[in-house]
Amino acid sequence: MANTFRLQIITPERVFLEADAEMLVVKAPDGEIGIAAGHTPMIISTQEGEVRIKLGGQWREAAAADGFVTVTPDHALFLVQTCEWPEEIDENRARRDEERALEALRQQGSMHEYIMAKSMLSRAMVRLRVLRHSPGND
Amino acid sequence: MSSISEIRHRIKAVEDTRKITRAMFLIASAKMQKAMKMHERNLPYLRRISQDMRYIIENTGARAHSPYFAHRPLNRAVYLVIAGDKGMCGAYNEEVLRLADATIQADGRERVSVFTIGLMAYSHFARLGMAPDIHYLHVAQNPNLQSSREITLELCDMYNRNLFDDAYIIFTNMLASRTLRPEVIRLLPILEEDFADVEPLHGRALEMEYVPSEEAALAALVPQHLIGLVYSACAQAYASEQSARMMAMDASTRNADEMLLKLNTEHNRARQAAITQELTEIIAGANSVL
Repeated sequence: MANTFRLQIITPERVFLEADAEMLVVKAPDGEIGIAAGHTPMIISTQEGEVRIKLGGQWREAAAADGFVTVTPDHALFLVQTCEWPEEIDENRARRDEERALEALRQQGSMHEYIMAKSMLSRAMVRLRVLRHSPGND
Repeated sequence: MSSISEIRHRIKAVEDTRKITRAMFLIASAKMQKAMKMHERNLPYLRRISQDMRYIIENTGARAHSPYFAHRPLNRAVYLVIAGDKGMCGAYNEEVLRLADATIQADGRERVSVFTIGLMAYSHFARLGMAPDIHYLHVAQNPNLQSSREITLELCDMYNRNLFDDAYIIFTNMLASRTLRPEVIRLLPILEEDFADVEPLHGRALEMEYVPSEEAALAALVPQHLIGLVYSACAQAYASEQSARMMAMDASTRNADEMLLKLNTEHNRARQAAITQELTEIIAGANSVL
């Protein structure tokens, strides 16, 4: 049996996942970071992006917003704003968000609005990307 | 004694009102359960993020570089007041607004900015001549993560641009299903003692590596912590409002029942009196014919 560690993914709205995982791949500002059992203790702030989780030999992918991971050798805690499996993603909503964000970027508002629109856009794009990757959705 | 038709009319009116209060009671209880679930699901997140915050604060020097921990002279305060969009919920709105007034007065800052959630809060401050600087629409009726996120990021942005020195959130906390207590929580700046009662994350202090850096980790952590707090306050306030409405509507329904009982008795008495009088008249009429 492969080495596993306790993985918890928690969002303000729910406990997304609590399981023994073999590997977790998250998106850090400077690239993707893979975490397996026995990883050196680390705190990683992550960006909007796909999260890949290896559970029982199977890779699964989810769409996550920005968050951070606290890693200890036998435990990883991923606190994130939102996290969704492909089947939970509302494709129409993601598309609408993408368009709204693009529109907001075109409007050239304040810096604050720009940042909000940017993060909204990247969240929408991650969702759409995860949907495309998931089987049965080509 | 009022006439029979008048009493009948009143009975009808009370019955109609009772129907409305009864329906509002049922709606409020369903909504409250939904809000409680939201709050419960948020609890693990809040607990975990507080533990992480405490860990980073205690084990790194990142705090010194973060503006969120800076102690500025406290001259300009922001109060985020959460109340309901409508009344019909007992003393819920009055109590939280009274606390807001008392807090603002007690702090006595040079410049006070009020942000409001809920129409009742807005109109309260507008009436006092201190019109809210920002009013968030639709949040009181539908607390969700997206709006909490927007509110928090806006606050953080304004804080970083040095537009205010400290921020408080004033909302109603639901301690048990029937105990509501208005509370004030400081959002910014963040103080070390906020985390004094949080149990530490790890038994022993592990040497942590930070990606990309301690400062960046803390900078990402603070807004998330605040979003969690704001979201939880919105959910709590919503649950409290519904709970207060439930109690108020339950009381009104019971009062209506009582009133109906009284009116029914009165109606029967009036009916009997009318019959008796009619009989007397008939008998008197018959007597005079004989």
